[in-house]
Amino acid sequence: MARKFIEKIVTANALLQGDVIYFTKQNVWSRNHQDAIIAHTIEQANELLEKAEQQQDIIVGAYLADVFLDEAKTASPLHFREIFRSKGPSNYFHGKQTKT
Amino acid sequence: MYQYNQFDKHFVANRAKQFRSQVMRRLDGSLSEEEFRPLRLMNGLYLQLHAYMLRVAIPYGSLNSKQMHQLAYIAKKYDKDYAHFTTRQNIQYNWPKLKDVPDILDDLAQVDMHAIQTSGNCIRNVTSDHFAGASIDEIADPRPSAELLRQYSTDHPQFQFLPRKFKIAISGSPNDRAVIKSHDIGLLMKKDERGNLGYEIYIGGGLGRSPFVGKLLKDFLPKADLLPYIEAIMVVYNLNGRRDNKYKARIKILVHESGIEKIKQEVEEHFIEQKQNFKQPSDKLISAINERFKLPNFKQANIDNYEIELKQNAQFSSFVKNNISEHKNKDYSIISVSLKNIGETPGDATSDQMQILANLAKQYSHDELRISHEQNIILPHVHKSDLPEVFKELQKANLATNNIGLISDIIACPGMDYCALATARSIPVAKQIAKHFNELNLEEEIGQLKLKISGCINACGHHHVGHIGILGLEKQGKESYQITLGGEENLSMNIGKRAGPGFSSDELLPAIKRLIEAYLNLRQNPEESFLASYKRLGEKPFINALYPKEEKANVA
Amino acid sequence: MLHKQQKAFSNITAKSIIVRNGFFEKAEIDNSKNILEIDGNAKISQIDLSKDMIIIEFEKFADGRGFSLAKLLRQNGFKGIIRAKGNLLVDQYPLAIRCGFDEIEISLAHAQRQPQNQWQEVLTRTNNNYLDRLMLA
Ligand code: HEM
Ligand code: SF4
Repeated sequence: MARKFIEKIVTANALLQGDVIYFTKQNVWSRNHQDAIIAHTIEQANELLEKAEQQQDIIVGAYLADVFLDEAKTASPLHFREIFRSKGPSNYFHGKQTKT
Repeated sequence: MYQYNQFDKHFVANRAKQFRSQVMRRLDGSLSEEEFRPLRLMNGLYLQLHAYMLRVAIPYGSLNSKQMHQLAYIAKKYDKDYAHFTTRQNIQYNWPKLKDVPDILDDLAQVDMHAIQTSGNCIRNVTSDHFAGASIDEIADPRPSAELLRQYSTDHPQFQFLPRKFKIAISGSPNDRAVIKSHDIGLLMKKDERGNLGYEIYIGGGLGRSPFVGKLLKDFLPKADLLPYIEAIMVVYNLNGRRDNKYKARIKILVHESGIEKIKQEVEEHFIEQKQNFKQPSDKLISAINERFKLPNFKQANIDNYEIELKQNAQFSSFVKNNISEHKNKDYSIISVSLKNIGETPGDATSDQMQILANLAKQYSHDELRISHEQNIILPHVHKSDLPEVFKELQKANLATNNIGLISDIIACPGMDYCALATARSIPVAKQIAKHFNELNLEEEIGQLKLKISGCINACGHHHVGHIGILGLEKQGKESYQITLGGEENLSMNIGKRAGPGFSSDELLPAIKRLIEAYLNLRQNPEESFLASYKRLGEKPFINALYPKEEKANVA
Repeated sequence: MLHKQQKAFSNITAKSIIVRNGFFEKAEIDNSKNILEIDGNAKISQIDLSKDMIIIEFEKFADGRGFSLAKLLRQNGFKGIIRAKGNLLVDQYPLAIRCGFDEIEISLAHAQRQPQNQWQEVLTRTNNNYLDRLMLA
C-alpha cells in the first residue's frame, strides 16, 4: 500500500533580508506560514518547488517542508525544525514570534 | 597587540569592497547562488534558520578595547543588541541582512577586523591559547606564529578551494588550552635540547561525525621552517584529500586512510622541495610581527588592598579562586569573565556588556582582551591591586559569575535555536543544567567538570571532548540527547564514549542528576574530579547510574 | 560599458572563450603547439615539462587541485603556457594568475553571465597580496 502523502509547502529564505518565507498562491512570497500554498500530491509539490526556484533573484535555498492540516484545513509545520523557523529562537523573544 | 599596518588596512578594506561587488553580482544575476555561496562563506556569511549569520574572526582570540567597542556597536546597529562568542574564537551575529553586510565589513575594517576565511573550504581563523602572552606556564607567546600563519593563509591562492575546511590551532604552553589535537593541524611550541624554539606538530585531529585525536607528524620543527612545512602539508592535502564525499573530505580521513607514515613521507618530500622554492619572510618582517606582541609595561604597585579584600570579602575570594589564573608577573592576574551567567545563553554577550568589558580592559588590562574557546572573555593583564575594583564593576554588569571550569561553565553551540544543520536544541539544555546545579548550590561541591553540548553530529560544541558530552539528535520527530563520558581536551585528548541510548528532553536533566549523584558518592575524596573518578572506576558505575532500570534487568 | 561588452561578444562565435589578460578572445587551438591536457588527478612527477602548453581541466570550480598543480609546475621550472579549462568564477581569476596560470577557457554561456568587464576588474586583486609581501618583504 502506498504511504499516505504528507501535505507540503515550499519555504525558503529571502535573499536580501534572510527572513524565512513561504511560497503562496499568487506566486509571491509571504512571511506568514498560513499564507503558504499547500501541495496535496507529490506532483503538485514538485511543480510548486520548480516554480518557486525560478525566483532565484529574490530567494535562497527553497525546499519542501511537511505540514499537517487541522479541521479548518489550516496548515501548520510538522517538524519541530519548521516550527522554530515559523516562530524564531526559543532563547530570546526574537524573530517572527514578535510579530504575531 | 598586533597593530595593523597600512598593508593590512588596505587589504581588509579591499576585501570589504570586493564583497560589495560580489553581492551586487549576485543580485544582478552574474552569480548564481551556487557560485555566490562559496564567496559569501569565504567572508563568513552563512544562512541559518531565521536569518543570515555573520562570523567575524578574532584572530588567535586577541583584541583591544576599540575593537570590542566596535563589535558592540555592530551588534547595536545591525543586529539585536547581542552576539555570540564561539569555541573557535569568533563572534557570530545572528540577524544581519545581506544588504548590510558590506557595511558591517567596512565598519569592521575600520578597527582592523574582518570576517575573511571564517568559513568555506579554506584555512580558517587560526586559534590559540586564550592566556597567550600572559600565562606563567608559557614557553613562548604563540601569537606571533599565529599571526604569521594568518598572513600566510589569508587569500593564499592555492588553498581557497580545499577539499574541506582547514583548522589550525597553536599553543605556546605545555598545558594546552587550545585543544590542538582536535584540529587539522595542531602546533605545540617547544624548545629543543639546545634551547631553540620550534614546534611539535599534530595532524588529522577533528571532531564532527568521525572524531579523531591528532597524530604526531613531527617531533620538532625549527621555528624558521614553519611556513614551508605548512605549505607542504597543505599541498599534500589539496591534491590528495577526498573530494568525492563531503563527509570524508577532511584531512583526518586522508590521514586515517593513508596512514600517518605515508602522509609523513609525502609531507617530508614536499617539504624538501618547498624549502628550496619558498622565499622566507625577512627577519625584518618577522621582528616587526614580534614587536607587536611585546609585553605591556607592567606597573608596580602595592597589593595590600588585594590581600585584605581576599580575607574580608568571601564573594571576592570565591571569584578569585575560580576565575583567576596565574600571570607571568607575580603581581598580575588573568581574569576569566564567565559568559555563562546562570540561566542565560552560553557565550552570548549584550552590546552593553561588551562595552563594559572594553572599558575595563582599557582601564585595567593594558587595553587587551581575549576570547577563550570555552566561550568566555579574558582580561589578561590585571594588576592585583586593581582586582577588587574590577570585580565590583563586573558584579554591577552581571558579569561576575564565578563558575569557570565548573559544571555550569558549559560550552554549547547555537543548536536548533539558530543553526540550519541542527538536529536538536543545545541552549535550553545548557540553561537547564546550569540552573539546576546552581540552585542546589552544588557547583563548587562537584568541582572541575567540563560539560559540552552540540546540537548535531558536527560537534561544534566539542561534546566529544567534554568530561560529560551531550549530543542533540532527532528521534521520531522529537529532540533526543545522547550522553558521552570521559572525553578530555588537553594533550591527553580523548574522545568521550557513548554511554547508551539517548534521553528525551524531559529525561535528560534527571539523567545528568543521577550521573552527578553517582560521582559524588563514588569519589575517593572531594579532590578527585569527575574525570579522575571515571578514569579510576571505569564507565560501569556511571552507566549504571544513567540507566538504572537496565541494571536491574541485567540482575534479574 | 554595456555597449563595449556586447561588442566584445559579437566577435565571438566559438563555444568557448579564452580569458587572457582580462580580455575575452576566441578559443583557437594552435596545431603547431605541443599541448598536454591533464586534470586534477595528474601526478606532478609524471608530467612532461617540455610541452609548449599544459591545459589543466577543472571539473568544478570548487575543485581546487588545479591551483596547486599549476603552482608546482611553475616551481618545477615549467616555462610554457598554463591554461585552466572550466567555468572558474571571476573571483578565482586572480588566484589562478597568482598560481601561475596564463589563461582560462570558459564556456560561452558562462562568459555571458560573467562578462569581460568583471574579469578585468578583478585583475587588480593580484597586487597587494599577503603571500608576495611575506616572501618579498
Ligand atoms: C551556526 C552555523 C554553523 C554551522 C553551519 C557549522 C557547521 C559545522 C560543520 C558542518 C562541522 C563539521 C565539519 C566536519 O566534520 O567536517 C562543524 C564543526 C565544528 N564547528 Fe561548526 N558550525 C556552525 C557554528 C559553529 C559555532 C557557533 C562554533 C563554535 C561554538 C563552531 C565550531 C566548530 C567546531 C569546534 C567544530 C569541530 C571541529 C572540526 O572538526 O572542525 N561551529 N561545524
Ligand atoms: S554542532 Fe550542529 S547544531 Fe551545533 S552549531 Fe554545529 S552544525 Fe549547528
